[in-house]
Amino acid sequence: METTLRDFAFVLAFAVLAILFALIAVLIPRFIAPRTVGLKTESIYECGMDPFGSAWIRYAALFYLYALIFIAFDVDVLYLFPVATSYVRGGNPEEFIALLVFVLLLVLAIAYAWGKGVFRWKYEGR
Amino acid sequence: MSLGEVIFVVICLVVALGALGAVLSNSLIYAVFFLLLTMGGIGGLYIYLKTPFLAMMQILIYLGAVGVLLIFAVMLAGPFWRRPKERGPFLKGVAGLGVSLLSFILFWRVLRHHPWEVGPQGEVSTSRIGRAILDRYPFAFELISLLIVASILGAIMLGVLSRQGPPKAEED
Amino acid sequence: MRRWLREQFDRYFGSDPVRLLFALGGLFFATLVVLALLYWVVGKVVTAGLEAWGWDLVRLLLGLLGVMVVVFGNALFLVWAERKVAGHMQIRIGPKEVGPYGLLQSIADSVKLLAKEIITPRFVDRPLYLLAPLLIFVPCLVAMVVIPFDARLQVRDINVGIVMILAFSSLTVLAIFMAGWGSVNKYSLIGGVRSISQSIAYEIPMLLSILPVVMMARSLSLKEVVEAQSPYWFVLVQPVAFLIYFVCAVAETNRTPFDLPEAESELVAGYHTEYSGMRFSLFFLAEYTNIFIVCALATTFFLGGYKGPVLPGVVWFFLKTYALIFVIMWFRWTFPRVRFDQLLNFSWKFLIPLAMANLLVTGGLLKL
Repeated sequence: METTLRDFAFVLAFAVLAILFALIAVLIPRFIAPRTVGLKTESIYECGMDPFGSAWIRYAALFYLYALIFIAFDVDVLYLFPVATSYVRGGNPEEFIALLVFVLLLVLAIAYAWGKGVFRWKYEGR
Repeated sequence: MSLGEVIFVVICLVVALGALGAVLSNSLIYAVFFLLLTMGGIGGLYIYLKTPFLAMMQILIYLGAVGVLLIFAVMLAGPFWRRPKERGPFLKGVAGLGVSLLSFILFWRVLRHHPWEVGPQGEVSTSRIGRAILDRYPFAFELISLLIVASILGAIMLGVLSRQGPPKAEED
Repeated sequence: MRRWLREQFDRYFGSDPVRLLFALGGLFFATLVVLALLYWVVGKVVTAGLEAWGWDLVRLLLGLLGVMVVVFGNALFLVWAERKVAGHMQIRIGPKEVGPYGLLQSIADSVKLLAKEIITPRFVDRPLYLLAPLLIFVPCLVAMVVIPFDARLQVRDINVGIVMILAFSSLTVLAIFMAGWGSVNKYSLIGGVRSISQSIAYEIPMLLSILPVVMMARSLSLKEVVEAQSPYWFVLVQPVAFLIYFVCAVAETNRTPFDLPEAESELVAGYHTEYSGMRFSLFFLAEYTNIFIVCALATTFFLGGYKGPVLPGVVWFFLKTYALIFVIMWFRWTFPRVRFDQLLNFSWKFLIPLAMANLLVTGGLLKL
């Protein structure tokens, strides 16, 4: 078998083992743990008060905005990984210029977000 | 069938199941997780193409980043966890059949008429990708950055517009 | 389900003793058949595996065993160390009753946790709620595959190792969100959302601080990164990257001062509020394993990994790793918790620009 497949066979084996282990760990207490059901045992915990309303509420659009910026950055940074592995020490200054332009363009994005007040946590005018 | 082939088939099944689940599940959040299952499976397929770096990128970007984005999008969607009212089963069936037929024809033609070449054997190493980026496609490399910056700017424009509260005159 | 089974059983076998006898016989026979099948399948798999894999199979099995030992030993030790360190920092003694210096305390704790009742609240989103503790453990073990404990003590040297660890650690985020969302509890959901935003905010500077290391080692394999640090450790040439990485590591593992996802005074326990007994301890275990992993990675990337004089490599590796873990515990009793907007903006406004500048400086200096 090829090395790539074998490498990831290891990964797969470990992932499967992790899930199996977690399953076993959850199943053991089924046989030895006590089981009591009271009035409020199966209710969710809200510091002792009776739960009210739904937990599934809407969240601020700000989180979405952060996630959007993140995804763009993530994609960008990942392009840098192959470049970094083949970045030659000394000589070939074009490589550095390519890197410089790439990163500076990214900085532009942060500067824009900063200027537009994405990182400000209050509504405008309040 | 060797173990590798069995796992390959299982991964294909996972991809298909995830896709089906994403379409058919009646809760948005389940649909998101099924979609992520499909994406992870596609990462597995990349490993069979001997491009482990692409596989890891697939997982990092689609599970780690796009997944988070979709999750936040669902949380923005408000308390409508169930799907909105849908068309009748007949219309849905016709639409599904039509799309399936079209894509089947497309894939069939591509598979039949494309001349398949066997690429270089062995793993595509990450540094080879990097060499290609630096030596042959530096311009495309910068364009990626530009494209992504443009998309960030667009997202921020939309987001900031929607964030702006009531005008100052109305406050206080 | 169980009641239905019982009813069916009563209906068919309950009253008639002969029938019951037949049923028992059938059950016995079925068990035999299943066992025989299992034996056959396992035998086939093992022989096929040995034929195709040879020594790699042995390596895999030993690796699984060793990694489990490391995971459990680490968790047991860290639970004890956390309390002991906390105690001494506050001029207390910490646990001392169970075993010498309280060393057996965490074993007693884990036995207790094993025997605790598992409660599933009634209105949880069952599939997500049950899946989360199973999934949270996957990235921990997978990361262990590529960590080089010594020059030859590594389960498998995958040549995209660094990216693989980063990729699989994104599963943690999903599992945490599943836990937060699935347990239909406000505290859990807020904890989950905070955790996601935090880890995505700190993932970028983390990647950016690893990039200079990759640039200098010119490889994504962890072993080659260690081997590249032969005259000097990377921390000497990349102190900024090391600091950024370490801050991000603390943030990614949700430790104080970045422990907002599980801030006790605000959110009860954050995303695992609704989990009890063994399910809770799986989260706990994953957390401590993650601390170990980020510190082991810091050791590998910046502190020369297993390299060191006199002592064997494993000892050096664990010494460095646990020194870093001690620093993280130290943080906990030194810094107050930050506010959430401060937390996110610290990353976007300070760490990311700094990491980018560091990357550019490294790139420029390498060209000189």
